[in-house]
Amino acid sequence: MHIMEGFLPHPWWEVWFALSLPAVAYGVKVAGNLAKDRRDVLPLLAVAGAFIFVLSSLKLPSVTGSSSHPTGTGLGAIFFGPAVTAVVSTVVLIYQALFLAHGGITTLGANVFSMGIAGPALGYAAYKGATKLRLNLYAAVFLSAFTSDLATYLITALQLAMAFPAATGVWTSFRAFAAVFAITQIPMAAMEGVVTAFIFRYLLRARSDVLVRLKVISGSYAKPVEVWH
Amino acid sequence: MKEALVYAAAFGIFFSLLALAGSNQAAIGTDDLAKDAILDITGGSYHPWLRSTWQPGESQGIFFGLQAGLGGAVLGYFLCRYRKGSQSPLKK
Repeated sequence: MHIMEGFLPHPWWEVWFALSLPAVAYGVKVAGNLAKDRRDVLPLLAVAGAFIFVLSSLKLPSVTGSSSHPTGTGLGAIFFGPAVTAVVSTVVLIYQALFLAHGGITTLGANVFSMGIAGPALGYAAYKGATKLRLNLYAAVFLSAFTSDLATYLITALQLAMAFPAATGVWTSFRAFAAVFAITQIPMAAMEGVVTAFIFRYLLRARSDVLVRLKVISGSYAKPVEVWH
Repeated sequence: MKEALVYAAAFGIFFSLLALAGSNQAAIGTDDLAKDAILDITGGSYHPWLRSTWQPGESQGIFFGLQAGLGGAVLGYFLCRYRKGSQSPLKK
């Protein structure tokens, strides 16, 4: 989902910076408050951040013959919401832009928006919606991680389509970019959903109390966990 | 604590090697395919207005490995502390 350095013309790169900056600034404030007032959740924040570091570093082949990266942002979005996830994603994207020439500094705003803000926000909404509908908890986590991953790539396709509309319009362009990203990404998003659900299950069994305090699960979800202990 | 550090090292090395292997595989990345799609749509008329001054080349795997290794180590450490049923992994 990295839009390469210099591949977003004026005014688009500025627009995505303008949209991303307030969200990241708010995320820094929320993360700062967590560090100050909620030290009990910091290990969970470290796990969610490390999960993004690990998954976004893996370049995996897909069934289409091309390769891509998972994002790992679903877990952070479920635990801490999109704003904090945006901060971790920004750190990862700066590292990859500087040391790996994946993405770029001029396209950082757009890449942060897709991977750190829009993807996690939609994943967060998917989790909240699924749990409200009393869907199986792990299915909700799967859905959230799947949505975060796939939405990141679809948003990237939209960003590119808006910057490079075809002669027949933005929609034609979007379909071309979505075809590049989405088909490769669907199996990867499904795999990310499964891995995220496993990690979530592990953390739920270990510390359901913290997840209740973070309002990730309700007390009723936490009850069966007591039996597992 | 000692066990958690062993887990940190094991997870760090494992994910580092996994990222290294991934970066060396031949499949073309979707980022590059998107670049081609831009050139298709614009009829080859778009030229990036800025290029990365530094390309990692062969060392790309090392940097992906570093990223995965760091994340893996943190993941391994805290997942081990959680497995031990610690109420507050930070305090122990």
